[in-house]
Amino acid sequence: MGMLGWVMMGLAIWHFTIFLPDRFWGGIVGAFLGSLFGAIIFGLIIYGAKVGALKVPGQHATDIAVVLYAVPGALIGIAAVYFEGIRRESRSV
Amino acid sequence: MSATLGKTALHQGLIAGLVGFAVVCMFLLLFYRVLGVIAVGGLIVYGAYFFALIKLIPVTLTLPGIAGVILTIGIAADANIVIFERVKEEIRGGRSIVSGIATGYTRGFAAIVDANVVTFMTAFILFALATAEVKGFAFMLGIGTLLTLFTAVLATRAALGTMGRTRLMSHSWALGAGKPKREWTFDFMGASKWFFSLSGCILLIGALAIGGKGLNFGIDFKSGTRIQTAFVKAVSPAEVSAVMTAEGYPNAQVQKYSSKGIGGSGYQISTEKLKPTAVHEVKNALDSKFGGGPSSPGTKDFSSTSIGPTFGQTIANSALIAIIASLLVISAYIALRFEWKYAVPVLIALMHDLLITSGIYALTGREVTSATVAALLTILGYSLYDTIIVFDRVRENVPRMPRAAFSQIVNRSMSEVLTRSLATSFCTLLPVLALLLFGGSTLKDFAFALMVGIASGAYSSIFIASPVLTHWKEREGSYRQRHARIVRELGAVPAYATAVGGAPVDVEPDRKKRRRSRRGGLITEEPGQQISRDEFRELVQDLDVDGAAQAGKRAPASVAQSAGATGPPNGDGDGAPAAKRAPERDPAADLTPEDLVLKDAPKPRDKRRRPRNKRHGRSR
Repeated sequence: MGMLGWVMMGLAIWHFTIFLPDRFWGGIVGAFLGSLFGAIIFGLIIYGAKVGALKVPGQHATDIAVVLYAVPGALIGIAAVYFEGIRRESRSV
Repeated sequence: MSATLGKTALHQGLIAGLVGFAVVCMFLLLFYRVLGVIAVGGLIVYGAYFFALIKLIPVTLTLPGIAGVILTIGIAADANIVIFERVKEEIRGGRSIVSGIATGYTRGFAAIVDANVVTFMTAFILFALATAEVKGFAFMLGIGTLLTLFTAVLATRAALGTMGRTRLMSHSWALGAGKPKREWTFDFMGASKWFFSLSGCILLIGALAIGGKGLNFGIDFKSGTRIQTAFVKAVSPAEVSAVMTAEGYPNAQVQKYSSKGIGGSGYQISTEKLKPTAVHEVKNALDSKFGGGPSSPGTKDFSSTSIGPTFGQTIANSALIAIIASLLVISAYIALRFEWKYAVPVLIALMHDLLITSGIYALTGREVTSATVAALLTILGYSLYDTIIVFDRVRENVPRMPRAAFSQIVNRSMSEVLTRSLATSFCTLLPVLALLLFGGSTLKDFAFALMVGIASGAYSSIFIASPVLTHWKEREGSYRQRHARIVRELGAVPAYATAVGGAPVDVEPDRKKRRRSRRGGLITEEPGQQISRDEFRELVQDLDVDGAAQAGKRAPASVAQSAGATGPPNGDGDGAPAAKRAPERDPAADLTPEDLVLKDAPKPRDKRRRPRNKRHGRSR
């Protein structure tokens, strides 16, 4: 259930990248992957640090706070893909 | 599961299916008139073949199976709509009725084949990998898809071929192909930011609902027993709960339940602790509490369902594996038939639809059962089908608009398919609505998921998948160049690529005429009708044939017009549009219409003929 929440949060945040200039590494699909993987990995890390084991929260362990763990991960993922895109652009120029 | 419950649910499902079928037929008749009569005939033939096949093959009709049947009714109607919309377009474009029918079928065929192949592949993989419940769905979907190809393409084509030259179809009004009441000129790609934001907000709310409320899993996904029963006299939920508490089940969920079999006084009692062997004890307790003695029990139409702890989990896991496998195969197919870049937006749109449906389930607190898994699979099938039909038009328009930006191509494609997409979504929603209204409480949750998913599928095909494709394709070098050139010429990229006169700019793509003539068929294009009046006018406009005749040896002038709305005024100050003078060839531009349409001057033939080989290749 936690994984479902993280994926949904990552996908939700990705939708707003359309307001940014398309300088992502891999374009809008790169941003999608960055957001999704960022949300999942960060969610796993924070939840893992909380319970002391790397596992996906089940139905009863998932609450709003657990779902919100994905937000910084998604933002970091999108930012990473964006700056990588800028770096590659400047290198090719 | 007791037989009564299953029989009632199936009966309700069949009634809903029949009502849905009737409503779809009415819609087709109203919207497409004579073409609708042929489509209804095709649907009746489809229904007859389908019935014969499920009688011939020993197959058990399950609830997910009914879902498959309902989906295929939608797909069968959809295939007709795709072709009929093409036929109407061709006739409106200036073709004769017979030629319009022939061209409509030819151009709509590829889209239908692609969409049906993808749906069939999904069905096949689900059938091969999933468990029994989902197998029923996959089987019905597979059979239905094959039959759809037969009835919607071959049977209706034969009927139209026979009727095409009759008086009944002599007027375009009879086909619903009069002047269009509405032409879409909406900037779909320009507004995609707001549609993306809308989807983002819905998903955000859904994610928070998943965290806050969670999904309400039914006993299919836990172990336990569900009792459905009516009572001979009116009882309150509190009274039923009191009996359950007295029997040792204080956490039992008691909900009002109504169906045609049970009536309006039914109750559904769900508890995780009740074992199948103890169900009769509960029944005795309810009978004695609400009945008038041993000879007149208090309950009627009592039925119970007991599920083991792994049942729902097994269904969900196998469905998940099957979905992933089918998505991989579908991606490969789309990459082969379209381009690999078309596959990714399809997958994103699918994900969007499934997650939005899950979010709405969490938000509304509706119970997630094994039937919900079937509903999600149906959504997957429908969303795929719809997106492929939309992408097919984009694929078709790419060679037609060799100087337009990709956003202009997609806008044009969207404006062409939006009516079809709305018609097909409405057509598919009709049987689902019938299921929601007539299906009884067992099927209502299922129909609700289908309704949300189908609406989301239609929405995502246009407002999610297409913008993702546009953004991704516009990064390609050729489209970047086109974009830069249009911005340089016009200051910004207009939503639609139009010529000076406002006519759409496109060229007739190089079609495989040799193959088409070989295929033959019942309807052939009339001589002189290989291109429509509109297409001929556009070609003349693009080639500037009239202008060239007047001005003598003047270069073709359409180059400056083809991408944007109007060219910049010429420099000599006469106020004539730039299109009237020979423009400079833009080195950054890609192919012009002339490159595609005009052929090189024929090379002078060598008068000296080679000596003829009289031996015709025979060895000495």
